[in-house]
Amino acid sequence: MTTLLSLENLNYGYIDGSKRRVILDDLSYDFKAGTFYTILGPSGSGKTTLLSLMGALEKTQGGTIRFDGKSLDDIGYSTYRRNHQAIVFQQFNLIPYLNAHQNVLNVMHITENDLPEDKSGTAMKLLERFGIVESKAKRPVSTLSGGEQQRVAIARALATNVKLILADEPTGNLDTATQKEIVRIFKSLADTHGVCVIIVTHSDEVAKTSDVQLRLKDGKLIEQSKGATYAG
Amino acid sequence: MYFLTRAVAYLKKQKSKTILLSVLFFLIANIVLAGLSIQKATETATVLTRQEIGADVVYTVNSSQLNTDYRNGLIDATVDKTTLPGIPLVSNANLLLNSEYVSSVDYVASYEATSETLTPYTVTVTATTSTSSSGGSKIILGTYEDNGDISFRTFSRPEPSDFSDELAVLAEGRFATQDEIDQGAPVVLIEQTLADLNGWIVGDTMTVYPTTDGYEQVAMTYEIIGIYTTQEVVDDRTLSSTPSSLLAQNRLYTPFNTLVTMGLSTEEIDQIILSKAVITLDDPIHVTDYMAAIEGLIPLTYGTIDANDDVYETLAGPIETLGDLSSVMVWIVVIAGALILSLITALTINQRKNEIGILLAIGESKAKIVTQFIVETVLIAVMAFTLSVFSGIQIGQTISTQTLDVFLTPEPTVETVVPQGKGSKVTVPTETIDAPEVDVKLDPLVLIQFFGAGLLVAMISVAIPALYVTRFNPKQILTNNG
Ligand SMILES: Nc1ncnc2c1ncn2[C@@H]1O[C@H](COP(=O)(O)OP(=O)(O)OP(=O)(O)O)[C@@H](O)[C@H]1O
Ligand SMILES: [Mg+2]
Repeated sequence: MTTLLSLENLNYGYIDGSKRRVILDDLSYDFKAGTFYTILGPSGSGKTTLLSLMGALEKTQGGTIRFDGKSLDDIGYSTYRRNHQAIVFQQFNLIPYLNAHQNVLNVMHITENDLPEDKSGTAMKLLERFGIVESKAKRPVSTLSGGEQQRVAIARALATNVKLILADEPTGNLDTATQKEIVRIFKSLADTHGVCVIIVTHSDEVAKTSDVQLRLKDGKLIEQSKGATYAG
Repeated sequence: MYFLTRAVAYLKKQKSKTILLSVLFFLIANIVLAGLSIQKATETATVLTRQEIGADVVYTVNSSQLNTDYRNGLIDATVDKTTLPGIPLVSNANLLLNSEYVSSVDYVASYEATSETLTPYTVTVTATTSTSSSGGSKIILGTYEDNGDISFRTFSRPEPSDFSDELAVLAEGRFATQDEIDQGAPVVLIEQTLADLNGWIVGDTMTVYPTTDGYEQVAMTYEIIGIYTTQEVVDDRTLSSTPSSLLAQNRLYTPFNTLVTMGLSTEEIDQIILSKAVITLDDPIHVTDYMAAIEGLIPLTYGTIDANDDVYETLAGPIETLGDLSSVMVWIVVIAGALILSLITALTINQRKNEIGILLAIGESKAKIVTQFIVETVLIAVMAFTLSVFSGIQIGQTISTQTLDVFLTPEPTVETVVPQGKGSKVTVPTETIDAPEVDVKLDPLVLIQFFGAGLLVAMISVAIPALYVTRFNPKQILTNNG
């Protein structure tokens, strides 16, 4: 597997009162394509912070993040966000005045990636794949259940054909059955679409299903265990 | 271009905000359009007023100054009037013609004439001392003794000023041609009464002895080309003090250049004191410019140059004030509207923080996010402005018509005093100036400008607070500890 996202000596800290609190300390790690990663770690250890850096929602304070060998600074933060990655949040973060279909279409119009001509039809098919039928897709997103909204968010993440999907506790607000289903979707993305999926979670259940379990501890990422190696 | 879809979706979803903004825009647009209509109306009204008053500039003697100085002994009764500074000598009046705005001029001078053959018109009033009473300021060219039977009044354009002013109306015949005027052809317009008394008709000739200074009394034969009726009303008191030769009925209009024909030299003509020179400009609009251009050419101690400015000021002053007020109103409303819009935008942007964070996280550019906000406002503005064009013009029309009515209704009157020989005065029917009919339709160009400027102001009012999004950090917005 080739390295898709590489973190090199990341440093990050917050000024807390008078002194600086270190969150990420010279953190380095290479994430590979077609692999499903989970990141565990105690609350406040810096998981969300790390994910924001990988999603270019924020700039690093030291070190370099490379995507496909190119640093994010070279790619451009906004370009990187619209063409190379997608984030799924615990709060879904759908645009409230757009329906599910429009939320998906919106990112398809923003990205510069090659997409099928029929964006509307493609978006609808994608939603249907995640159980959002047309009648639901045309409803205001606020009338959808949490699980349904999260599936819309995942459809949105996949709509732009990005190679990197980041998720911050995507199942935190969902019941066990829905949680399992969502995890299964992520796993199949990595397995069959060659996508690099990185999920921050508190759940050991979820962690167990991943190819690589990581733990964020003392500002560094440590591999806990490695699942089966993949051919090809 | 998906930001367009987003903008429309947002407006549909946020119905109350959309309606509120529409109403705001609609109200502002109405006030602005009403203001613009009023301004337009006042502009038109001032121009019309100027036109109504006319393009005539009259150079005449300042008789009140002359009389005051005479009473105070500053000038002597025996003084040579032609040496008085500013007196309307022909040479002075000539100085006023050197302007591109002058389209024609009428030199009005008077001289008397005697005749053994004609019968002048006389009135029988109980006037016992008619000759001695007028020994005061003899300021008009002419004889100082009551030795004329009739009087001539000169003109130097086909329609003499008295006819333009409707003091005299041509009843038969014609006016002199410009050729006759230029050549000083001895042609006359005579009053109906005099014509009847003498049995004259158009085409007849008459022979008289003019008695003007510098002219040896030689008989002059004039051809009658027209007969007019006078409109002057003279009260008995004035009548009693007016020599009969100066009565309107005994007045003959003849070209100014007949003085040349009579043999007066250029120097003598330059020294003639005009009762007035009426200078007509090409356009009333140029009166102000013309007055500025001729300022200082003549020391106006004993002369006045008047363009009915007082009447214009009386009429146009309040209208102009109204126009100024309405333009202040438009500015206040526009500024207040812009501030309100900015405030609303600033507040909504804070409310829409989450949405902005999401858009940033999925890679939308900040420029397009700002554009979306602007488009939302522009859509509302276009809708509201379009509606307001109908109502605003209506309101403007109503307000303008009513206000202008109030300002213009007590129709001002101008009392015209015609200076006569021997210092007597004849009051003629007062001239009324009609309040101009004002059509306040805004022309399409103004509407386009209103639309353009309105949209521009709206866009700027939204863009400035919206630029705040460039300071937004999606991580802080979207994560729990943001
Ligand atoms: N803007 C900020 N200013 C100051 N401190 C911050 C800021 N954002 C995060 N922190 C601190 O940094 C640490 C790491 O935060 P982060 O959100 O990355 O933790 P986390 O691992 O995601 O925790 P959780 O599991 O509870 O979500 C926390 O102690 C947090 O209080
Ligand atoms: Mg977190």
